[in-house]
Amino acid sequence: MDQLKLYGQSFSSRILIGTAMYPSPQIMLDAIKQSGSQIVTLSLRRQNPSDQSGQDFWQLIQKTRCQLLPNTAGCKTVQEAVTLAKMSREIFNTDWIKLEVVGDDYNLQPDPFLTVEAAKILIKDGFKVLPFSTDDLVFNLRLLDAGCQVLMPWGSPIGTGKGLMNPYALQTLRERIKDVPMIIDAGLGKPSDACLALEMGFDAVLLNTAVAKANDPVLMSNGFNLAVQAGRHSFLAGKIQTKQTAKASTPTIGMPFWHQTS
Amino acid sequence: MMIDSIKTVAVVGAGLLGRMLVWQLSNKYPDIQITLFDKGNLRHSKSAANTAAGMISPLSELSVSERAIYDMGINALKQWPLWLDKIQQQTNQSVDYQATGSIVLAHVLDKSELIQFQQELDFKLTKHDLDSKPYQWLDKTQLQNKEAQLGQNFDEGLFLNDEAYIDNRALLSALLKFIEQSNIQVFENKPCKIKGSSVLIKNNEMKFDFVFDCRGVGSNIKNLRSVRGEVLHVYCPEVSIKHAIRFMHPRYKLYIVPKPNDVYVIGATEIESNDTSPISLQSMLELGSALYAVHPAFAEARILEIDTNLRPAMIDNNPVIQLDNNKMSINGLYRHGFLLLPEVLNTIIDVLENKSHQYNWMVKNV
Repeated sequence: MDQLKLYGQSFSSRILIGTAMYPSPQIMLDAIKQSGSQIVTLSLRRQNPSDQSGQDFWQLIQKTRCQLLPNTAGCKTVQEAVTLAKMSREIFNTDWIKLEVVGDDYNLQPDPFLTVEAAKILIKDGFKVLPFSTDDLVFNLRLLDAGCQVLMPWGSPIGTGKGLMNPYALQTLRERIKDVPMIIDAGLGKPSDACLALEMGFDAVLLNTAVAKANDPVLMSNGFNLAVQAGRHSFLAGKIQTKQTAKASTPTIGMPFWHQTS
Repeated sequence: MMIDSIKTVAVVGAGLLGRMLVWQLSNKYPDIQITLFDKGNLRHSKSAANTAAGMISPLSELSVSERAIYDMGINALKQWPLWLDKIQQQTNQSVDYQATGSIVLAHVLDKSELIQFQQELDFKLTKHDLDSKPYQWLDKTQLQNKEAQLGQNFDEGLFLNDEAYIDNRALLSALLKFIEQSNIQVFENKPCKIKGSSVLIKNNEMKFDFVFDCRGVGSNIKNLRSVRGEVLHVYCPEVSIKHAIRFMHPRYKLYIVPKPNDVYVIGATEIESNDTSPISLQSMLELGSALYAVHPAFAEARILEIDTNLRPAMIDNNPVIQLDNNKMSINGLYRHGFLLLPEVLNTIIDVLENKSHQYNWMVKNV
């Protein structure tokens, strides 16, 4: 059976979904269900984690029985990210962490230097790090050197919905890093973006805004679910090569080839 | 009718809902003996309504709410002026209420936020709604005509017709006066428990024919959660803004609501948390810089007050009226207290009088 393997765990779904910005927790739960996702990300940075005052909301998310992937969204220094990761591990009882160290406020681009540094510290401390990166090849190679066993390059900046902005760079990444699961994280705007990512051979997608802010989040979530399956099937099935000349799929017996003038 | 068998009632929780319920019950059923309980002080209310900005903005809320919330808000706009007139006649205290519409703005770079907002409205409004043009785009000149000071910094905006704001603290104060001058017994500064239709203060049990639980986040109804909000009150005579302003940003949506005497309330945050600690520096900076972005003169504003509080919300963010024999728990007014209150209150009365109503989704028997 075709499974996504991340840090020794297997998943049949190839969507990771975020838990922010939904119109209500009920719509969030319905959207998670429709997405088919088995991994959900959550942020606790602004919920005063030392006080555990976000419990009500966290418990709702825990009820989904999905693998929790706490993130360090909004952290700008290595120290902040490491501290928040440790708090998350304690609160959610998981050593999975989506590492995110922001390098620029406006496009929320990850800081490659600080992300690599934080990844080293966290991996040494026993974390299973899923780092948010860009499509920069060297950044991703350094994350592998640091010991990351999963990479999460962006399609485009968080929340922009611009899809896969630099297919060349992403294709290069996939060709150069063949054996490590890669999840396209951030920037997806519509199901066809996710489908394209899977067709290109990426292992999964992580999204939030595209679903949470859609007019109908639950329907959009289902759309992504189907698109990801379509993309994966396409990748596994192997697409045909493109050609310059048409080739009819119905038999052409009876159509004399000498009629062709050029 | 259920109401015929009721001679004594307890209203537990003296926030906006508790006070308005006392007011309504007292007006409608003068023979019923009402007792009001609150764990805090009525004069210095710590209720969510005291922290709120007091917006009644059905259209703005529609972008993130169900259609029913919008319809309830449209009815609220008709109801509030009538009720406020009556409250003023009864208490001789006026409550500022401005039904002037609101303006939605965004930075030039964030124009897509305005378009996204419009898309969300168009998705939920019917063709019939849209025919009456509930919102309009404003160009720079039109914006300047509405708000002279805003036209300098913004090239365009959206104007939402059917929106209002209310001086929330003046209303709480007027209702307190009403309570004090009426024959209503008040137990304040006393945490209490509800058991059946009895109210317990420590071991002292008081029996009533009927109890209303209006305690907001202090209630123990199932699946209730808290959503933290943070607001600033600033004094800024240099700025003269008459409309409620919504300021859209990719990561937060802020509101600025004018209050009497050159005071403005700004808020934004929605944090899934029951944290009651003081405001974070990040929120403070975000609120402050948004004010400054709307008008640079806000830089010289004086910060009068920083407040944080918790909004009570159910899992679907919709209000609920739970009926459990002789106890009714009303909760989940979330960020829509002033917008939902009239229809919630009317529904409570309909339920008490066994009348039919259109809110079967809101009323639950447990």
